[in-house]
Amino acid sequence: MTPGVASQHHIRARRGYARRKTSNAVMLLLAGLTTALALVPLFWIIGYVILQGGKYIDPSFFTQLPRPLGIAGGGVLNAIEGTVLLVILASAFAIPPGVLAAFYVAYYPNTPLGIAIRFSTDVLSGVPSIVIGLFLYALVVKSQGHFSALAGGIALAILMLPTILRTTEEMLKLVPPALREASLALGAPEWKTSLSVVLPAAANGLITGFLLGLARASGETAPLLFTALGNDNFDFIAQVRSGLASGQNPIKILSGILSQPVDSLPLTLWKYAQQPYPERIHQAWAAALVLMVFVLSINVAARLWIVIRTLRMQG
Amino acid sequence: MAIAHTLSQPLAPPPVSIRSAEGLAEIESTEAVRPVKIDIRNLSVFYGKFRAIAGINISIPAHQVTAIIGPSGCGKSTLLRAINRMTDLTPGSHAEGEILLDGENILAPGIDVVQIRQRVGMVFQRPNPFPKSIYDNVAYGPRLYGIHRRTELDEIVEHSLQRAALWDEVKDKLNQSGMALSGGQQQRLCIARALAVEPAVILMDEPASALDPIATLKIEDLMQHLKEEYTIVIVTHNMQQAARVSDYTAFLMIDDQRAGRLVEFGTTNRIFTRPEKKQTEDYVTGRFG
Amino acid sequence: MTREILERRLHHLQDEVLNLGSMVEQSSVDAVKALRRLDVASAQKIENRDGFINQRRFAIEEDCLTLMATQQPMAHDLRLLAAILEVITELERMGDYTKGIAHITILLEPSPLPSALLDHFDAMAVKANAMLHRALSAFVAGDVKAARTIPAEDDEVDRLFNLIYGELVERMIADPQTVDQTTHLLWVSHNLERFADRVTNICERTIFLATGEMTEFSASGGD
Repeated sequence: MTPGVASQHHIRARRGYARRKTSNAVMLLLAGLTTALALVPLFWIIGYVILQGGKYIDPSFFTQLPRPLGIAGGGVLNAIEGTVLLVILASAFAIPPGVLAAFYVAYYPNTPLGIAIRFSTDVLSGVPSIVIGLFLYALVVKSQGHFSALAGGIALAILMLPTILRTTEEMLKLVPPALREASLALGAPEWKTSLSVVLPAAANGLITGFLLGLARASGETAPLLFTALGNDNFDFIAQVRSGLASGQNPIKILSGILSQPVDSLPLTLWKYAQQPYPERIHQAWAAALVLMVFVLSINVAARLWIVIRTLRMQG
Repeated sequence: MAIAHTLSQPLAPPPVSIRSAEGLAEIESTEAVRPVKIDIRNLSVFYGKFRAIAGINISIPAHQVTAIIGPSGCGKSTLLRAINRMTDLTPGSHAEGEILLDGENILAPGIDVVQIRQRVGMVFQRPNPFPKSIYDNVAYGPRLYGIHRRTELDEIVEHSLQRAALWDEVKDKLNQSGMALSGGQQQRLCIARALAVEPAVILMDEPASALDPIATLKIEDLMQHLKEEYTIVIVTHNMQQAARVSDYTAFLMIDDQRAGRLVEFGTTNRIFTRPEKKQTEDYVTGRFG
Repeated sequence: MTREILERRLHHLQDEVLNLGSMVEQSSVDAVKALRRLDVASAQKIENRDGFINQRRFAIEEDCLTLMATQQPMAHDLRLLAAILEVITELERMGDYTKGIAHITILLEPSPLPSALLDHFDAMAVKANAMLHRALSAFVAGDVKAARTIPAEDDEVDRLFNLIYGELVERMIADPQTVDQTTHLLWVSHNLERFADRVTNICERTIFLATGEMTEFSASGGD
């Protein structure tokens, strides 16, 4: 190669370099800007809710049942307890079938049943939540004759189910087959392998899936309209205490709790926000703040758990 | 239950003393007399319609290391995995022929696969410890077979880790995750895990291929010690390793229908210095892939 | 072709063995010639040349060890390297024998040697060299048949040795003054006889290389 040609190549490469540097910088800037843009709503909402709701938070908000209008004080204890109860119920109803079905689909994806499960789950995740509420109204509320926490819990469980199933399935597929083989090679039966080895290995992902479902469930209002209804006097802690004190059978106490209508934070929020009274509006904002903090803290706590668990795994 | 009983009994001493440094002539003369641990008779394994290995006949001697070598895709792993029925895991697979473990055909219908897998343990190519503590990794097997008393488990865990030459390195951190160990240590942990259920045979599928040279040599050393108590069958694509480590070697190659067949089986000394078949000679001298 | 490097190096080594062999052959021819003419200067040169033979031998040995370490040879390749190591040892010893003959030429008094004896020596040397030449060719070619037949020719060399031995003993008895010279000449014939014996060992190695079996051809006389 003659020197002239070589230096030409050299110069061309250099010019290309400058161009590449600028286009890289431009792209980086664009990406950063759009990310910031996407984050704006999140921080705006958080900020606004804190601003609006923060001034109405006081300890009694968390510890007292709602008082009638005109009387000072009162809180949303019923809603908080209701949300907690509903979330616990929904998880209890959604996790076992969700996880078990996910195992089936992950191990036998090409069987008729496996295909059916996946298809139905996808369809289910598209059903409007209010329709689910209506369905349960017809099924549970009407047959029982009253609104109940049970019905509300089932409604939320149906909402959580697709998310849990799909995420669990994906996470199971990510578990290296070598792990499963190692357990089987030691003589463990398939079910033991799934329980003792595959499930713990997929645990991080399962927690994430559960969280996503939970976040959705705890924020739902529509299905609760027809199932849980709302209950200003709901306070299951007090119920349990009084029930135990009076010597009631714990199962009876439980069924008593479950068959009541309950309130939840989004439900309360929705109710109060529609009322013309400024007090109620304020309380709605406060309830919104509490709800937001509730969901955020579950998220943070679980992420923390995952990080700690991962660190422990790596020794 | 038989298995729990087996676990607490000491293993019978090997019938033929095979400590190293015996002359070549002596090993050759006892070749005919050495007891057979696994007798593979006319074994074929099919994946659906495809025959992966065909008509394999090998007698694997007890308390020796037998290596299975051959070019890629010749069915070495399939052959190995057939011995502990791991081939069953592949959907659509079935096996023909017989595999006699201590005289009992493990391919017969109605055989308890769990029992087979307790007697025939396996170590895989990439170390695959469970995401549990070191202790729980090793204790997993015994717990499967009903051993739950802490004192018994402690003993088994220590014994297994010692036999895997890992005890000294981990005895102070048994509660740490098994995944926190180095690659070579993880593989020895997997070996300890396999030893904990007191198998008679240990199958190793390219056990050192994912490890660095020093870890590899440690595993190879370990095999020499382990063969005193166990029968070892190893698949390796590294010929020099097969030559270093094994007492007997089986050479497999694919035929025209892409099924793996046994070309030659004999003592490692003979296979690598005076192979009988030209195909074997070509392979061990590297004259073909 | 796979293992091209190994193939090339093995061929090169075999050529080197042949070269070493011809150096030894040449030395033995020259030594017997120098003896006949009692040419001390030539004999001295032959002695010095033995140094080269040893050097070449060690160079080949080092190449063999390097190949073993770096190429992990198996089966035939391994047997070839092992055989080469043995053959060059034999060749080096044979070189020592010819050096011994040259040394005796230097030691001998400049008095004439019986020509019949010298003819016998020539015959032995010619025979032994022919054997060596054919044995090395058989070695490099892997010719097992030839390798099996060459050792029999050692009988001829042994016959000549016994003949010379008898004549020399007679000579010593007849004229005790010649004991010194005769003893030296005994050593010459001994060296030639051992030279031929070593060729047998090379043939054994050729058979080992091809079959992996060590066969011993019974050697006559000890070292």
